[in-house]
Amino acid sequence: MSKLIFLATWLLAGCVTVDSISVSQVPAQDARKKIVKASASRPVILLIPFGTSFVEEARKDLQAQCPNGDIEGLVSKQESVAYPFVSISRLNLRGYCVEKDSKSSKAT
Amino acid sequence: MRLQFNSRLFHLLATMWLGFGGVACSYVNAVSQTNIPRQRHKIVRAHTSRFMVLGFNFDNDYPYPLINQLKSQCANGQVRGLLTKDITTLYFLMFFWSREQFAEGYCVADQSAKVASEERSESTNAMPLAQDNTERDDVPTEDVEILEP
Repeated sequence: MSKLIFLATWLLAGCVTVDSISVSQVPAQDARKKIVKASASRPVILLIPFGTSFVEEARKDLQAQCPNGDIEGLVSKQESVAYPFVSISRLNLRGYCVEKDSKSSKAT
Repeated sequence: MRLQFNSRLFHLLATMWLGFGGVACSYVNAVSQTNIPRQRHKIVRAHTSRFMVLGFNFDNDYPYPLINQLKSQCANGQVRGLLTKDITTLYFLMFFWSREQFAEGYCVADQSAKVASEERSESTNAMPLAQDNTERDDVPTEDVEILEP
């Protein structure tokens, strides 16, 4: 029974590591009203990945949340979650959607 | 029995390793994203790569052409909203590698240059030509009324 519990714990634990991170210019306080987030991932099974297009998918999801504004203050974080025999490669994007109204009010 | 199991296990692992080595597996090393503009009509893309054998590489200058590729596609504007992706692709038994960089962004009309040129044209119409500091006898010092042609 204890061996089963130990095995289950080992199989379910996931170690997370950050592979890369980037931050772009952050807008002024007045423009930080609307936060937009997007995330996409791909499994890597037995060291075999299944494509790299998840990066573009995450960006497309982010852009869909802010179709008429600039997306600024972008934090992009690429991370890997490791499980036994399987790992998940994930990209998280987070930024501020700056609409035209907030920019014009900031200018005046 | 034990020898048979080990032999089977060895063949299974060897088959998996060869199968894995026969295809190209791509891993994402790094990703970066800059501020995304609202004008997303024109997409510009660039790509560079370096093929390596056993991972031997003697310089890291191969990503630099990305900039010229993007500039050539957006000669009269700014490239904004840049997504850059660094990928490693492994070929046959990991003996051959390919390091690839992708950059994708949006070409936006250069608003700052447009505004600057408009300001210059406005200032030229409103003010007379500036004079240098050299003293000249034929140049009047009092205010001169500019007559319309």
